[in-house]
Amino acid sequence: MMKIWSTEHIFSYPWETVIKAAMRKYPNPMNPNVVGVDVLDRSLDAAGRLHSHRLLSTEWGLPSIVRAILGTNQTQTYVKEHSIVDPEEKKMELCSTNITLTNLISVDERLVYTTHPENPEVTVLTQEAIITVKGVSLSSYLEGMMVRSMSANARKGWDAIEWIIQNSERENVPLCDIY
Amino acid sequence: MNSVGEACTELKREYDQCFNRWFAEHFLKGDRSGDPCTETFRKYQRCVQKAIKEKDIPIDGRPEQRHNVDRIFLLPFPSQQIRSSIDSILLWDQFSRLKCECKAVGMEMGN
Repeated sequence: MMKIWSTEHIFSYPWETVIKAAMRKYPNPMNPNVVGVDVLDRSLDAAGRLHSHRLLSTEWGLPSIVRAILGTNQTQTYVKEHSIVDPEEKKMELCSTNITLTNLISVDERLVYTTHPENPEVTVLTQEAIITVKGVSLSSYLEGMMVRSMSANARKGWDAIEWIIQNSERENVPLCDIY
Repeated sequence: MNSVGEACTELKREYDQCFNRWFAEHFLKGDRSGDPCTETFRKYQRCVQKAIKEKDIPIDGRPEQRHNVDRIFLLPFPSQQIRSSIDSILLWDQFSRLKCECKAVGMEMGN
């Protein structure tokens, strides 16, 4: 059983600023569950686009009885992410999927950041997810929970990007050019 | 931000700083020359790949061992016990989120 969820959000910042924040999204106060991020591979393709493959680990703090029900001994879940940044077309595409708990659920997410067609100072994020719950009887219950969770998490994600943009003076690499 | 392998965090930070600088000051400005971070990346990668092996993280999409999840999904309807466990997942999720939101505005929540 599958559920498709999608949304669109506008950032009042130019594309470059948003992309710089998106590449440095973690850590941030809105996503405290993301506890580890690693780059597995990075390369430029023939068209000059930057490909990155990343591994994220998330810690949900599930009580042990819940872990027993879900049938996992691990406390962390892992997500694989592939992003493509096209600086000419001003488009960043990001696809992610969980690689643990896959016998229970699949969450495939796709995010696309582009310059707004009518206003180059503004960035549009379109986001969609396909949620597949394995099995039948609990699926609609879990689907409802997942969709609510996705919407709440999407809002956190947008807030996270805004927070990163506003707190960019850490690491001494400013997101906004100061002239 | 930590690395997935705790021992690799320092190497990760070094690489991230190099990459973020190149990304912002060269790549996004149309400079097609390769990034200067290859050596740092190599050191960092050696550490991460080791950690992935040690933690047995299925990055190659190897199917996971099935546990007793099948039993839950084969029931025609959720039993009371399972429903209350699902409720406890939801409650825990809401509680965790509330705790984080409160912390973000400077409030502490009791356990």
